[in-house]
Amino acid sequence: MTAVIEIEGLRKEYRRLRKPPTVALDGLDLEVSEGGVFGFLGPNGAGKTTTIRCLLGLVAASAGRARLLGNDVPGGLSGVIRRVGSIVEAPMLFPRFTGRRNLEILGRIDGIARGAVDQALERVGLTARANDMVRTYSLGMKQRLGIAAALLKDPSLLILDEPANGLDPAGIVEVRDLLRSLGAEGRTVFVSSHILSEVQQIADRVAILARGRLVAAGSVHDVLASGRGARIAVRVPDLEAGRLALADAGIAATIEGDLIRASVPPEEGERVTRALVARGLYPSLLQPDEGNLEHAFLELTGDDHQVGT
Amino acid sequence: MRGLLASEFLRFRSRRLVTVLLGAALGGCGVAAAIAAWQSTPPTEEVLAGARAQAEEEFRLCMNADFGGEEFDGSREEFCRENAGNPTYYMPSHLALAELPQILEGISSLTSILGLVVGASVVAASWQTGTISTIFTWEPRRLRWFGARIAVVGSGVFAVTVIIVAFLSAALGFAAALRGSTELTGGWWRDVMTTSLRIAVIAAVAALIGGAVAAIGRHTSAALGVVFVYTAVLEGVLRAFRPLWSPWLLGDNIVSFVSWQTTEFGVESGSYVLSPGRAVFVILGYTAIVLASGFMFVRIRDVQ
Repeated sequence: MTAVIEIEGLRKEYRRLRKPPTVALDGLDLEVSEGGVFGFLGPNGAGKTTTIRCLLGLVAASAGRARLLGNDVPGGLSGVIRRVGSIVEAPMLFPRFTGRRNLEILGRIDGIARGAVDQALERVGLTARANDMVRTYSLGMKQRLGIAAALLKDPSLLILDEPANGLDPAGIVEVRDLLRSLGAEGRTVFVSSHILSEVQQIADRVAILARGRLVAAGSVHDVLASGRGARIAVRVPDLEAGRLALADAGIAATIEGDLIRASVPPEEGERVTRALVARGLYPSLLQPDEGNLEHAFLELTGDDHQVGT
Repeated sequence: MRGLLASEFLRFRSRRLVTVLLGAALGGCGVAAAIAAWQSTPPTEEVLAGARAQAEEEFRLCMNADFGGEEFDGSREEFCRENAGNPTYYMPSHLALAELPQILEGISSLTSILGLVVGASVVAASWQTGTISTIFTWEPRRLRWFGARIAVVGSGVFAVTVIIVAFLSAALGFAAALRGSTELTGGWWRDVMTTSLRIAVIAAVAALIGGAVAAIGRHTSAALGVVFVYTAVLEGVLRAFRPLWSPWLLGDNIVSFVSWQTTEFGVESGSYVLSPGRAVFVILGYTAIVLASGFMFVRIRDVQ
């Protein structure tokens, strides 16, 4: 598969007067292949938005290399920008212009017809409010207008920074379905988000970033397996006795609900069975526990999720 | 580039500030013309005839006068027609259409301020609203984008100024026809056209300077503040303490450009000359330096 995003050793330092520079990206390596939805995860301050800004030529990298659709960034960006739709942080649009006028202004840059503006507005469900000033829009409507702007170019690559930000539950479901359908159309959707459950539902592949570095990347299944999610879930009649039995066998375990989660890889399930049976505790259930992306995320990023923006 | 210019033009004409300022300026012109008409006492045929006769007499005296070998800017006839042979000089105070070029010169400071505000606002708005990051994800060639925006801002302000000047001229013409005199001197049309053109050029230059400074400071108020401090404070101080530097100051050269007259000034430490030719050179120099700085900042600074 062709890589649509290639990042090698990307570093970004922000210089500050009389203070040491802040390192936002510290030698990031990442490759995103064509098609599907790619989730880009990381705690606040991990460098997700800086990565996106570097990819779109908004900030200059201090070192390293980035390529978008095969062209170097920022030098070759103009050659591929027509095929890239994006939202960086919150969608930035002119508040005193109508939604339609905002899209028309952007569309004219690439000679996009008015019909395409109407289609984009319709796709995000904003046709009825298209002639209202953007400043009267709710955060969710602005977000949808931003997505409409990103779709206006009919892009092969979408780079969306927190697209579900500010949306109500119905809006989140709409955006989720939209992103899924865009990915299914053969486009590549690169989506950064902190709503991990959302990403888990739509992404085929994910990358997790912490302190400006990549800590995990691959299919959702692989990333889950590399984090705290690589465990075994067991159900026994006496949960506390089971936990102690496992602890005595050198297996860390926690009780969650009506299950014991043992921190051993699924292929070592036999160790768990032996330890429990030795104490007369016969499991009624024993299965690999992939957990969820949230667990894997917390495991892989450690305490970084407490870092401020 | 055509798409970019079309986009920038659409954005320029959609800006509320532009329409509000244009509306206010046109309204102000209408009010000014109405006041001028109200204050003016229309000359009678008898007064007009007397003034014409006196103007011809003064013109004849001027043509025969001995000026001690002093050289004129143009021909002696032009000098005398303009300074002695204008009948409006010999009438009671009233609105005379013949004085339109001088009236237009008087509004050039207002149109320049309008140009400065529009230029600074149109450029800085993209940073203040954060839309610059959206724009750069559509056109990543920043110099190209800034070139398009500056071109649209400059030409837009030029066009807006032409509209204002044309409206004011028409309004004053109407007022003069009603309650003043419409007697014109030779070369009036040429004077009105060239003065209008210079006023529009200076307003456009002000817009370019305002836009370029706004691109550096990324804020309208900052840009207006910097330009005000430079022209009103710094140049004022230099003019007071280093009068011989005046030929290199922007404000003095703008005045010289708009009036299109060569003037010699005598000061304690010597004398200096302000001429239209020098004014063009100095104004172009200032504009080029500020624009080059604007382009450089747009190109190199990160967009957060």
